[in-house]
Amino acid sequence: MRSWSLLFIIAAIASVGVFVYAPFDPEWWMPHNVSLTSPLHFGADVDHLFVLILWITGIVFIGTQVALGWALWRYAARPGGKASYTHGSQRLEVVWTIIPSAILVFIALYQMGTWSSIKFRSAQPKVKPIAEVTARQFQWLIRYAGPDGKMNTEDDLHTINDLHFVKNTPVVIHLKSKDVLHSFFLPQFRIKQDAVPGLTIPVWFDADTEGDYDLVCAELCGWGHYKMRGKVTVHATQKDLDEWLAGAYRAQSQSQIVASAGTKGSN
Amino acid sequence: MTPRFRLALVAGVIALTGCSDSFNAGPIDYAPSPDLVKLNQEAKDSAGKPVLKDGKPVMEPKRELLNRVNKSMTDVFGPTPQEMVVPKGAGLPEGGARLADQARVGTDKTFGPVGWHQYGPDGKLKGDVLIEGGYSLYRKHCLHCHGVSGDGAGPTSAFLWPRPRDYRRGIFKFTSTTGQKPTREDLARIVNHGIGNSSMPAFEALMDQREVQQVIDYVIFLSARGETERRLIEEASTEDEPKDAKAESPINKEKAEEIAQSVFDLWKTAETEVLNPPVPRTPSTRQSIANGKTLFLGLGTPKLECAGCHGPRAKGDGQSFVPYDMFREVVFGGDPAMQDTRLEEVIEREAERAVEDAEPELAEIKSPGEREKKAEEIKKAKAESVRQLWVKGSLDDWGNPLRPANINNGPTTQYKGGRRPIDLYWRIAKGINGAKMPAHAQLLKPEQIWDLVNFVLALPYQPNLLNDAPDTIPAATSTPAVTASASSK
Repeated sequence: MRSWSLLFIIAAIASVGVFVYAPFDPEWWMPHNVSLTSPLHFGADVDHLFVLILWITGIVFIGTQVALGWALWRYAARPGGKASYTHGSQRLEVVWTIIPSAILVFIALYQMGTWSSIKFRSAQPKVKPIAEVTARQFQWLIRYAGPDGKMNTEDDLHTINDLHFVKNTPVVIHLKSKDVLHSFFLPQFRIKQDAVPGLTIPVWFDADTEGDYDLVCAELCGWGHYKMRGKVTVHATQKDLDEWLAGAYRAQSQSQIVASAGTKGSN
Repeated sequence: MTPRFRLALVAGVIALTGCSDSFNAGPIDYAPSPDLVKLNQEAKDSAGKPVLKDGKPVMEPKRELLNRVNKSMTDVFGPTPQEMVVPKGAGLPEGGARLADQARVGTDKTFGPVGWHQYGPDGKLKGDVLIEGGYSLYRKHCLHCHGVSGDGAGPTSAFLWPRPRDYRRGIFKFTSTTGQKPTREDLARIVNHGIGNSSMPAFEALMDQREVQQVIDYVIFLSARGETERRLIEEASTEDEPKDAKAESPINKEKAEEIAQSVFDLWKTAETEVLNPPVPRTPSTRQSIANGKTLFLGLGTPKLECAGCHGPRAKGDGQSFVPYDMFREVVFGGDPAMQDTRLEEVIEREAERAVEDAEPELAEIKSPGEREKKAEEIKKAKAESVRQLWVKGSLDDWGNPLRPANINNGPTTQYKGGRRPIDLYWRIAKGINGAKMPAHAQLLKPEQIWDLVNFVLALPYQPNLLNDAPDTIPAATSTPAVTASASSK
């Protein structure tokens, strides 16, 4: 029955192989990171933690798999083999309890700076919230202040699943939920925050590259969960954003059919 | 090989290959419409009773009719969703090719799985390239609510309120046109942005605009198919006389084609019937908002009954509809299929309560027999009035319960048909097709409609606007506002 150990050894080698290969294939690795060099650079911090933990767990994984493979191979059932009985080793148990505990404590302390800069209210950038994002089954209702710069007034700009801001400028949004738990997830920005009914939660982030990115829901919120996909557009300059806001506001104020324009809706 | 190993092998093979869902090759059929079900039942009922003509048995007319309808529909629209035929003169872009990115060309009878590229533009086989197309996009995004045949009865529909649209009647709620058909742009707006306060999601970030147009092609195809079938059966039901099987029947491919053509013509003319407000929007001044308020409360000329449905505080609680608590109990009180049972329970309870309320009045009647009779009368009258309120006031044209919009819901107020001033102008001027919202274009001057639009848009941010409104607006209680009544004040 020694051949059984081969199965476990091959599985371990394949798993390690996948992780060694993955970083070289963008399809296999994490989503493109656009928060590396921006002022808040959360993406860089989060990926750093992720890779660090991957190294720790990778080394531990290889160590335990080698031990497992060796034990399976060495102590496979043999004709005439005799079992020996042991009450275990207290020293060994203490060692393999203390080492993981120490690693956990290290990770807990090491990540604190990143956690506090992303989640602690004291770290919130002192800027006016750019938008209020309300999650509902199954879309993101987004409200901008409109021309008067004030929220919850008649000239607010409303969009659906469409968030815009400027690169290299920290932005704050106010996150709400209308019905159940949702989770505001910007994979390319490494930002994730639950939306909780009854709470208004500020979320802040930024990006270093202009472009179109994803906004998805990361909390199974019902049958249409997978349809809660939005578009995040990062503009190169404030002027570009202002132009977009003005255009969207014009579209929202439309009161006549514009000849040839072919109304494009609110954006 | 041990059984355990064999099991591991099988599980492993499945895990490695995965279950491909790229194409479900099983047969997919259009669900029969209610008219077809009825016809089928009639055919069954009359089965075994051959009709004699000149002493010779001829085919049973109902069965024959059913067959003719089915045959004609198959000829004109194709037998299944996987084998579509684009009717002649459908006017769909690219001859309907975007429905599935492959179409029956000339005499070529080969069909591949829908949604897979069969031929490239050069006519050469392109192989198994997965490509979008109205049908496959519809299956991916829309079918689970709107159903295979566009009947609004997909598997998830039972959990939703408002119910998903049944396209087969060819009526769409939020249109910019003067008729019941929307323009392609109206549909695109709904697909892109969804419908607020309903379960229709926004697809702008899930599909590109080319795909949205393909889905619209397919929705129009399904709608036209359903409407054609409906009209064909209507035509068939007028054909009562038993006929010789050989005699010319009016139900045939040509008839179906003719009907399909007229349905598609309606879709084409809708594009030219967009209502543009004849005067530009009145600036949203205090005066304009006040004018709108006067009209809304039914205190202006002409007298409108907005408050009868939307309520004196515009909270969507007018007396022409059943009270919200009752609505909630009936619609959301449990299994959607048991809605009618719950309605009967509520009616019974309301009737009992009416008798209790009339207790002092009843006590004055001396004779027990008379008293009993009077109580029975009160009970009956109340039950009837609640039933009327429900059936006439609280169901839309598809038979689904509906509520008037709450347009005074603070900054979170949602407008199902869109929040642009032009959207609200359309809602007021043209009403909402299939729902209780009436058209006002004939009744009101365009300036008055703009006053109402300004009032409606101001309301969520000026919650005190209606504080001085009377608690109840005296109005005709029997029917919701269809025309303004001048009888009561």
